[in-house]
Amino acid sequence: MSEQSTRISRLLQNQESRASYINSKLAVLVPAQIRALRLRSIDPPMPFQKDLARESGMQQSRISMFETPGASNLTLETIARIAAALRVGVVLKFVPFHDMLRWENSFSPDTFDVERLQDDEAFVNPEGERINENANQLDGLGHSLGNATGAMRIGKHASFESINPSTSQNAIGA
Amino acid sequence: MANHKKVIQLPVVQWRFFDYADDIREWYLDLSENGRDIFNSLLKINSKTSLPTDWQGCKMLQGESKKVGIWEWRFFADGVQQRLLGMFGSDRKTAIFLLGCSHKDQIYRPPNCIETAIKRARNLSGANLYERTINENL
Repeated sequence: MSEQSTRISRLLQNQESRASYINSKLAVLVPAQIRALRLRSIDPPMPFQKDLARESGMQQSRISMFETPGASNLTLETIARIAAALRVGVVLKFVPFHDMLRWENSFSPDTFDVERLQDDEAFVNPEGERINENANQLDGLGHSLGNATGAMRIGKHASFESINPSTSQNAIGA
Repeated sequence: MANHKKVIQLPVVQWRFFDYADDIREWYLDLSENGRDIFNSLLKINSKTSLPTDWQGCKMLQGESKKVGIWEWRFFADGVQQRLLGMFGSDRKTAIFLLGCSHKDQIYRPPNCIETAIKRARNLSGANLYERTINENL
């Protein structure tokens, strides 16, 4: 039996094994997100752990622990404090195992970033965002109408081609 | 006039990791199920992280180890800091794990692991490298 099928069978049968598996994903993905967001922070910049420590009102040693895989069982309160310091929100969502795995497989610190509160137009200025959305929709409608006119033109041309057998044959022959 | 910039998307090359010797597998198997899961998750994420400076839990060692380019991955499992000592391979985006150990109260276990890692780093040609597979299904 392969390591994978043994593990899946244990996950199906054993509660402790499931808890351990879920814990291991959190133990790596949460620190990875904290570190990636800290390093990508521009306003304020947080190149060092002490910067996040200052923003969150915690000791640098605690930040170091939060960024070390498996080192800390973060409470929801601590997660909220860190998210607040990073100026981002948090969604804690129960999902099927395959979703958890998909999220892990797609995660890379290279590309992971989150819009910060000060840049979050949809939250800070929802009315303005709605106006922008409407403008985009109108713009989209204009494009659609333009395309429709184009399609009609193509349609005319196509029908002209179809009633001229010699051209059509040439076209096929070509 | 609109500035038309062509964005070229380069394929992402993932890191490949190799074990220097069988004892790294033994270190891995000695970890609890949770410890092994944490390590596998770490392996997966770090393989997709371009810059080693951004690797999760990675620190350069100091002194003699630094001279031969040894770094360590740190993660916490089974009540202790687990340390995996490694170095970069000669091929692009390859890394070699030299030795697995633990670290508690400023002491590495086994105690001579740094010396062994340095010896191995200097004797890469004598190694029987074994590539670690990254399981995306677990």
